[in-house]
Amino acid sequence: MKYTSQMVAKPYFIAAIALFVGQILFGVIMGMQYVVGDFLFPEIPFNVARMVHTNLLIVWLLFGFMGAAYYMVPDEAETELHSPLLAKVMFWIFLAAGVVTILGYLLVPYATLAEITMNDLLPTMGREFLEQPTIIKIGIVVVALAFLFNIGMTILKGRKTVINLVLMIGLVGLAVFFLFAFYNPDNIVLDKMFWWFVVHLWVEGVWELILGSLLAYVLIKTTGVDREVIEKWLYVIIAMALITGLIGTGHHFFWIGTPGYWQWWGSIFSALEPIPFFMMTIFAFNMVNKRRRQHPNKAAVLWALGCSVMAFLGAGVWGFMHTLSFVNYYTHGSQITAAHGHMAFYGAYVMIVLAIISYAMPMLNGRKAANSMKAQIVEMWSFWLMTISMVFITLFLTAAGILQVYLQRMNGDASLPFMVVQDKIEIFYWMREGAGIIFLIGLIVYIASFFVGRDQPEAEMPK
Amino acid sequence: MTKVTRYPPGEIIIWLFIMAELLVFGLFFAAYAITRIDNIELFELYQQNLDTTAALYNTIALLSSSYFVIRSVIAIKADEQKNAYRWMLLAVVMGLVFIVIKTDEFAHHIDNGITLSTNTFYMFYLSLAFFHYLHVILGLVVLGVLARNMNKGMYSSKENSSVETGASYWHMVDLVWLILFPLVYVM
Amino acid sequence: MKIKKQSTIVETVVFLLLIMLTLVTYQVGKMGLSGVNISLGVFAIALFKGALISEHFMQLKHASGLWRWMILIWLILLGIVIYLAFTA
Repeated sequence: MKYTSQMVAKPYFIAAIALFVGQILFGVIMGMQYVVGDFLFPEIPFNVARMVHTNLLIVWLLFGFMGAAYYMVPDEAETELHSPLLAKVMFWIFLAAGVVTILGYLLVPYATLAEITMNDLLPTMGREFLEQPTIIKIGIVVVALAFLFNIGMTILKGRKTVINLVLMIGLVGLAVFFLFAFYNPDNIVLDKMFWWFVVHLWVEGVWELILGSLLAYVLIKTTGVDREVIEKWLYVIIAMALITGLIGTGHHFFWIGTPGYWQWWGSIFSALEPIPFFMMTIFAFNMVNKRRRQHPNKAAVLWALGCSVMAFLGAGVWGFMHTLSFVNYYTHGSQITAAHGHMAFYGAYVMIVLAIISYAMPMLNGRKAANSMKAQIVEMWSFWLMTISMVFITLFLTAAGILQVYLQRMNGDASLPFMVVQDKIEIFYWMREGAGIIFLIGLIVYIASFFVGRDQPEAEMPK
Repeated sequence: MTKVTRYPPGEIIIWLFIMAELLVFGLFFAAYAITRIDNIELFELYQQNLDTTAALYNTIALLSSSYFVIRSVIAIKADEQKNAYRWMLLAVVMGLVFIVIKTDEFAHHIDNGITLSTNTFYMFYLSLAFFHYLHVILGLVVLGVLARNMNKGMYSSKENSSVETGASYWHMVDLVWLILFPLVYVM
Repeated sequence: MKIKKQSTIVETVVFLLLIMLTLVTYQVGKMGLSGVNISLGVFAIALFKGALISEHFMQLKHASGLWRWMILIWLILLGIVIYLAFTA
């Protein structure tokens, strides 16, 4: 670690992992509620568990992105962070806002929460993933602005690199598109459309820039490949991500009342969204094969490679499966969507955050480059446990989804009602829950990796 | 120029990009042709409303532009920086001619109240033409940067990978138009 | 120098050929000729023009293996799709 101000990344990473644990706990609870409907009812109703599960995911990923930026930007810009104090203050504000929101979801009925937070002054609540009270949303904007200011000033005063620039574009885009969370048109079609401006243009647009930038950074650091080569790849990957991702938003406009041409625009452009992910996979493996040096942090390289593969599978392949409008006509909003959502979020965004944490944490803890071999082995175990169980969660949900679509929507007059079908595919939900528990175990192993082998020497540079 | 080299000109990554782009256009062309099967009369009727003469001028503009880019590449490889710069400027001018004519066509359609929702033919025509139009603009930006750098003397017979990369992209834009023109305007 | 002159001549000839073929296509459109065979003929000319771009302007004739064929294969696939769609 070259700059002391990079240390502010540490609390962000710790908070990210802590909230990650919360997310998985609620995931496991919800998975159980799929098969035992009144599990933990009335304390934690399904809709609340779902809200907590998805909101925590987004919040902890944001913590991860911010931590990653605070670690990476000074290193790339070769200068101290503009204001470490501002970063620390914002950390506590953001954490407090996050915790208060989650407690609000859990402790009071959602309608009461809306009342307490005076939602009627500027109604923004009630939309999926954007359930946060308006005042919290304003807080998020303030934190984001302060964060962008801090990062932007650092980039301005230091060395300008393509990696930093791409990250900055991604982060600015993230903030800008969040503003659509405040826009609630009365027209339900427009309402849905602008909702996707946040949801889709985040995960299938600007977040991909953040992903590309962080991946490129980890690869430069661990492989020693020429910056020029990596930058060229990054240019093309983000160009493809933006072309396909921005117009690909259309695949959400199929059935909400928008003009018919979206069937074509959405289908064609979103069908090509796997391309940038495919390029990322080739990119990562190419760079690792061409590496100029061996890096002692094997775990970080594993996360980076795993991220590129799982992002391609989860976002690319599983997304493609149901993106064409004539397929989506049947699969819309089924368990196939859930399967895709799980693997895409894990592969693309969870794994990139874990990759950067894996790369940065040893240095933040005072190591020179890597953890002890023992800690790394435990961490790699957690990689395989979480990744493989996520593959199984995805496969079980896909199987459930295919059956669901067939029984409920494609069987003509013999099509069965929703709840009857849910009973018939119960076995897959049980297996998914099993895989989910293994994922939780993997996460516990992951956390353990931070505590084992601390007294042992650093892993050696392999020959 | 007669030796067999393993790799195509320019940076390899641009060829991945070109293939991805051609995949997009290819899908659009295929979708056009397949949709046409059930709407032949509609397609043939509205095809007659398109300005084939404007499209001809545009084809000539893009072909010339591509040709000038080639001349620029040949010149820079012979270390003739001045000539390379002039050819590149000419290429940019021809690209701008395309933009002017095409913008006028779009303005004409808008005046007539035609939108993507008018009918299936217009949906395809406007989508394809506009998507290609954006590519011409992007290509022109690239050529413009190359011209500026040439003027600064940044390229030579040894240092011309960027020129070839940009040139390859520009030829792709030309290639797509050569398919689009007969398919949408004539056939 | 000789190589340079030679390639200049080749590219110029290719360019003139491309312009000529374009004018032919345009004339066919203007003459109001129609029918599947005419359409396919026009498209065949377009594919040939595409091949000229690939081989000469993009200089892929100097590339080896799949690199040389990537655009040509795209053109052939497109030709097949268009042929099937227009004769369906």
